[in-house]
Amino acid sequence: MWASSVLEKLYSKDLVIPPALKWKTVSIEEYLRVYRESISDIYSFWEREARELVWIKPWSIIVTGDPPKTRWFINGSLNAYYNIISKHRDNWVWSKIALIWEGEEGDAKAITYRELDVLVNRVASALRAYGVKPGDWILLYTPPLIESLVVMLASVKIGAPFEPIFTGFGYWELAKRIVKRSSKIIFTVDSYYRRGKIVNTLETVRKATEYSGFKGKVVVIERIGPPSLKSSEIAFSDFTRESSVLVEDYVAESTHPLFGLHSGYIDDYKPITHPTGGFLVQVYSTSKWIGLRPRDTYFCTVWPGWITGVSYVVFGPLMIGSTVILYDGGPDYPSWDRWWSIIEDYAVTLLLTTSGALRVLSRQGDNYVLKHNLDTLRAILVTAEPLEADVWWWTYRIIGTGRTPLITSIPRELTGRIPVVNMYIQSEIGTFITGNLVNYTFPPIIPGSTGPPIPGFHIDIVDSNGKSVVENIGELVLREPWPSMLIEYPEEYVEKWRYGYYRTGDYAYSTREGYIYVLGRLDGVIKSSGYRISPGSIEKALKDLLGVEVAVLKCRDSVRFESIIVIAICVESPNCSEIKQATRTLLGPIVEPIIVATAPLKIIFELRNRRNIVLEECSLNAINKLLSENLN
Amino acid sequence: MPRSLNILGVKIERLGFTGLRLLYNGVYYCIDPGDLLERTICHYVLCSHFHVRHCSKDVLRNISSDRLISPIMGIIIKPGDIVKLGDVLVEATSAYSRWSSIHSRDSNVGFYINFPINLRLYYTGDTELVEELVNNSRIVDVLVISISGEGVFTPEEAAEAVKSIKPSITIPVHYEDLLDYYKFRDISQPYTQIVRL
Repeated sequence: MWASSVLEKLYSKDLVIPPALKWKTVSIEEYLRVYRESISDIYSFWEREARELVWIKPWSIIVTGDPPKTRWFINGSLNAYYNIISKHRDNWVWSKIALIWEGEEGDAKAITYRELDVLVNRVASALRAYGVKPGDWILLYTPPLIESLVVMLASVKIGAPFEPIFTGFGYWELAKRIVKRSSKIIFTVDSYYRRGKIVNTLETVRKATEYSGFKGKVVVIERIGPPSLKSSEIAFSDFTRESSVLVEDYVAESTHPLFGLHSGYIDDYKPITHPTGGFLVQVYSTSKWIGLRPRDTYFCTVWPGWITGVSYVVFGPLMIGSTVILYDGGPDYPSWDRWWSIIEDYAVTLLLTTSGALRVLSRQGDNYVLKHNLDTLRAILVTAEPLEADVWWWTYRIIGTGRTPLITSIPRELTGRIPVVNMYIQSEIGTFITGNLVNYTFPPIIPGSTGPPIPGFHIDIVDSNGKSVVENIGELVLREPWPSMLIEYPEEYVEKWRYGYYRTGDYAYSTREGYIYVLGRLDGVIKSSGYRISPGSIEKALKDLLGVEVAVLKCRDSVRFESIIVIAICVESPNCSEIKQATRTLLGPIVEPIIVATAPLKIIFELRNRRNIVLEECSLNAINKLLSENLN
Repeated sequence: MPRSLNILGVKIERLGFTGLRLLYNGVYYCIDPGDLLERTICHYVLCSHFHVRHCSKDVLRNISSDRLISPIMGIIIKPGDIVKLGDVLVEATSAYSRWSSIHSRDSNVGFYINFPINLRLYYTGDTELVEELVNNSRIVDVLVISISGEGVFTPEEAAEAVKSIKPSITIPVHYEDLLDYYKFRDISQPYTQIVRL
C-alpha cells in the first residue's frame, strides 16, 4: 500500500528535545495525563477555554445536537471584532505594529493596531453604505495585502461573513464561488508581482464575473495601477473615500457565520462555513498554545485562501496582539533567500510554513539560509502535508540552530536549537489539532510525525471496521465534535460523520505513545504542494469548457508530495499540451497537471471509479503500466 | 532588505550610511544625505552635524539657506528650536557624546520630525544615551537610531534607548558591521518592531 511507503520516509525513532525548550519539555506521561483529562470531558474543557473570550451574553447550554449538527455555546452572543482587535485598545498593543507588508519589488508598509482599527472602520462604513447587511457574503480575490486583511476584519465588524479565494485558482473556480456565495461585492487587486512578472488579477475577475453573470460591485485595490475601470468596478480608495461614520460592531450569535472556504472533495470544491463563537474560541486557544505572544513578530507563508492562512494570519495572531508579516511574490524571487531575508530584516520570531515549501527550499543549498542571521526565531511551525524526517532534520539544523549562545546551549556545528513543530490542520476542523505545543504541552519531538493530539481534540486512528488501531495504518478520525463545528457543509461532510465519529479522509499511523504520522489522502483528493485539490473539479471544467472527458489521478511527487495526472483522449484538437494549458488557464496554476496522457474513453471511465490509485512515480512509464493493466 | 517603508503615508528610504529620505505630500525631506545629496531629489535638507557621511559644506553649497537646517548654517537651530518645513514641524533635540569632540553639544543635534498625520519620527543623530534623551516623554512612532558604538550608541545602549522611548518601529542606522545590527536587533526585538532598511 502506498501509505506504507510514505510512512517509511517519515518514520523516525529519534526523540528530540530542542535546547531552547529544554526547560519547557514535559515527559510523554505528563503530556498524556493532560491530554486524557482534556478528552475525558471535552465540553467542560472547551467551556473553560471559551471564558477567555469576552461574551456579551454568556451561553446557556454548552452544546446541543448530534454531529454534524452539533452547535456550541447556545444562546451565547459576542462581539467578534472586539475579541480580535478592539480589546487591545486600552493597552500597549494598540500603538504597536499590527501588520507589515512587503511587496516583491521591495517596498514595505506598516500599520499599527490603532491605524488598522481606523481603516477597518472606514471600510466597514463603506460596506454598510453600499448596503451590505449582516449575513451577506463578501468575497476577496487578492494576494495578502494589508487592505485584504482590513476588508476581512471590516466584514467581521459588520457581521458579514467573508470568503478569501486563493489567487492560484483561475477564473472558472472563482466564478463557481461567486455563484455559490451569491455575493454582491467582490474585492480584488488590479495586479501584483510574482517572480518578476505582473499577474493581472483584475482580468481574471472580469472573466469570472462575466462567466458567472455577477451583477454586483467589484472593488479594486490599487496595487500596481492605476487601473482603467468599468462601470461595475470602483477603486478601493474611491470606495472608502466618503466613509467616516463610526460603525457599531455587530454582536453575533455564537452560530452566526464568520467566514467560509471551498473545500476540495472528490467531485468538486464545496462551500463550508465556520461559526463565530466556536471558531474564535478554538483559534484563540490554539494560537496561544502554538507559541504566539504579543511580543512576537510572526511570519506565516500560507496565504489567506487556505485554512491555515485564515486561522493563523487573519484571526489568531491579531487576537493575541502579535505583529504579522505579509508578503507578495514567491520564496524564490529575486532569489531563494527571500524568506530568510524577511526573517532577518524584520526580526521575525515565529515562522509558520508548509512541508512542501521546506522540501523545495532544502534542495536549493544551505547557503541561502546560512548567509542570513535568523537568531530571533523561537520556533518553526510546519503544516499542510507530511514532513519527511530528513527534511525535518534539515530545517532543525540549518534554519533552527542560530549563532548566539543561549543560557543553556552554545550552538555548535548546526546541531539544531529551536523547535520545528509539524502540525495537522483541515479546513473542516478550522485549526491545528495535532502537534507539540510550545506554550502548553511540549513533549519531545519525533521528527517526521505531526506530534501528539492537541488537548481538547479526541483523535483516534481506526481501521476499515472503525476499530482503533495503534502501530498500524488506518484513517485519522475525531471521536468527538470540536467547537468550530461547521454550520454549512456538503453532503460529503455528513457522510464523514455516518459512524458517529468524523473521518478526516487521511491515512495515519500512531505510535504507542500517541505520536501521529499523517500519510496523505485515502480518498482520491489530491494534496499537491500543500494545496487540497478536487480531481472532480478538473474533470468537470474540461468537460464543460472543452468538451473533453478526462480522469484525474495522482502520483507520488518527491517535491510536491503529490502531483496531478490527467488521462484524456488527446486528439488533434485538443491535444495533450492544449489540455494542460487549458487546465492552467481555467482552474489556475496550482492545478496544472504534471502529465497529460491519452487513453480510450472506456479506461477513462474506469479510472474515475478507482480514486484510491496513487502512482508511485510521476512518469509516462508508470502511467503506461497502469493503463496496460487496465486495458488487460 | 526592503527599499522603502511606508507608514501612514510617509515613505522612508535609507540614504547612504546613516541618512534618510522622507517623502510626505510630494515633498522630499533628506536627513544627513552625505555625498548622495548630489544625486538625490531633496526639497529640504536637515543636517544633524557636519561630518563625513552626514553632511559636508561642499555638497551643501547649492542648497538655498531656507531649505537647509543645521546647527551651523542655513536655518540655524539648537536643541528645543522648532522650524516649519512645508507641512512638517522639525524640532531639534540634544545629541552629543562626552567622548567625541565632533559630536559636541554645540554642533550636533537630533531631530523630531512631526507630521500632521499624528506621526512622529525621531532621528537620534550621533549621540550616546544622554540624560535628555532618556527623560524625554514624547511619543515616538518611528525611531531611527545610530548603533555602531563609535561616538554613538553601542548596540546595547541603543537597545536601552528603545526600552525608554518605546517606539512602534525602529530603524537602525550608522553601522558597518552586521554583528552590530544583529546584537541590537536581538536585544530590542521584544520592545519594538525592527525594520532593517
